[in-house]
Amino acid sequence: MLKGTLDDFTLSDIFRLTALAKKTGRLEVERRTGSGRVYFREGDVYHAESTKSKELLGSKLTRSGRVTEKQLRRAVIEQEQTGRRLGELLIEQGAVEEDEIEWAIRSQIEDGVFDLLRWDLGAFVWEPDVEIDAEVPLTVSVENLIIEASRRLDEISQIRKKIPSADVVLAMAPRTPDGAHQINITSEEWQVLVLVDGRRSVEDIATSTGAEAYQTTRLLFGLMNAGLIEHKQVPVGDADESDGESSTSLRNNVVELQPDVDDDIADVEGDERQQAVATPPAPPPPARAHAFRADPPAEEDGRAGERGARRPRRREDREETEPSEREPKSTPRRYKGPRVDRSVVVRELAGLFSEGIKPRPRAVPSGDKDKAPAPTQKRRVEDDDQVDPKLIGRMIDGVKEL
Amino acid sequence: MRRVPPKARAHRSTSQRPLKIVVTGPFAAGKTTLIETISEVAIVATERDVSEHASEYGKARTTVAMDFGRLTFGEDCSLFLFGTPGQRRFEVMWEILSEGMIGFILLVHAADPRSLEEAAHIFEEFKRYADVPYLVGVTHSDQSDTTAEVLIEAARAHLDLPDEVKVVVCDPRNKEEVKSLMLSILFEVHRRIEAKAVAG
Repeated sequence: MLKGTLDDFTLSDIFRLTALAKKTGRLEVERRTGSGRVYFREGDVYHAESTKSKELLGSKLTRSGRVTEKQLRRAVIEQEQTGRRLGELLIEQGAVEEDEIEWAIRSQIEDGVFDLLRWDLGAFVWEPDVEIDAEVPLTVSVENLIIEASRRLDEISQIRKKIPSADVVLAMAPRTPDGAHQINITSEEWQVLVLVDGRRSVEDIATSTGAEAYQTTRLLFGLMNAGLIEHKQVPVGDADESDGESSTSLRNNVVELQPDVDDDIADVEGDERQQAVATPPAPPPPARAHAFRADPPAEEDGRAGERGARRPRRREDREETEPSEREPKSTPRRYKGPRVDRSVVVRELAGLFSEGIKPRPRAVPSGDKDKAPAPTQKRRVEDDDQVDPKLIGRMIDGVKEL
Repeated sequence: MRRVPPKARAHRSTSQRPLKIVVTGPFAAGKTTLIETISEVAIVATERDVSEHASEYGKARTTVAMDFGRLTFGEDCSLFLFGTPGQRRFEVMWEILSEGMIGFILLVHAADPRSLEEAAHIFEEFKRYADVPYLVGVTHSDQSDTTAEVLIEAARAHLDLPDEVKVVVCDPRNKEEVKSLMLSILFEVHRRIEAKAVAG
């Protein structure tokens, strides 16, 4: 086991080292306002979850129109009776194809990793060789996950130009976009559009859909670009008072439109805002999401109970800060949780990951093993049988064209 | 509808065996900037506030583990760029990052004499890891009163470089100059592979 804080290494660093060393195990990350787990198999990720990334498999499939509510309900009932995997049951029903389950699982992994990669503060624990029984044997490379996270961050910066905060209230456009005779929208867009009523904020809509905040905000941004919805600058308090559904409790979940500044701030000891804001009551989870909950993967190391007891506060327990009071990202902050000596972490991490890095086999002509390089001999690039001259040639051409 | 028991199938992965060039050098030499200039992948938060030398170097953030960049040329051809942390306290990471590299670029800060001292140490370490092509890039020449020729000669002498090793003044923010560095490494890799093939 290896412990450290994100002051020592960022999660993206740890991810990359894990991938480089092709490690298998569990990375657990914890901070005051949440926690997350990522499971690696030979350097690739096959399961990721965080307390803020919690859209369930069934919800993903219904929201995207891949499965109907009826089909899902049937599968959930059977799941409760048989204990089998939800995805497996849906495939068996003929409701979805295998690749659609894989899409949903991959999306869950990306959501979880995206949330975690934005954390700057917290503590991590690496436990080698801990595995879980995943829904689908799908792994995603760290490289692809980091690229996806980068893409989402770029997208968020664009979205923020039109939807600068989660408190923005949106309304239907009074007339169709110029020149539009026919409007086509997807099932996902429809589910979001029906919640746009001039009273709900972006945050309310995101919470009501049960989807990831990022996904919902992205859909709203698209609808806004299409001219179907627009800003309505209604004070949030007024909206709450006039709304029969009252979004007060929904507000306890904060939509993240930017890198996780508010949570990082919440981790800083002595933050005066934290003392000034009372912890809101925990809202009930969205009913649909709860009803369609797929069983979380069972831990094979038999430590599920122990881990469960250690699980930190859930998202609902978070202490909220006003977006307008958020500090700039560059403000120095220090994690005040349990700490270990940095040099110990560096040494342990280096040792841990060095162990997994095996020297690449060198090209040795058959029948000429006696002339193989000694173990201490330096690796020569021309002896690397994976460095193909044609490949290098293509790289040369590619770089020239950049 | 076919049903495939999940456990019966092998895991699928999109991982590739990375061919990589490592960008190394002392603190504030411009490694992260170089990778950012040419990479198609936005670098994701690998820098941290620094506590040492920050004001002297005009640099408030430093890489603590590595930077990562990628260039893709078609479906099955990617070149990865790894930047090392410049500070010695992260030296343990260097060898890990150098594993499998096909070459390395050593950057030196022209306006800081200590950068050359530090570069000599890094250079010795990297030469020890693998016998691969490398070159030296002298950065921040605009902050130095010395001419480019003198800077190059100083670096060559201090690092005790053979004549065939390329030393250039470069601006890591300039894409064409960065491309030139990459091409030099790739050409040398190609030349060495071809030479070995000819020699049998």
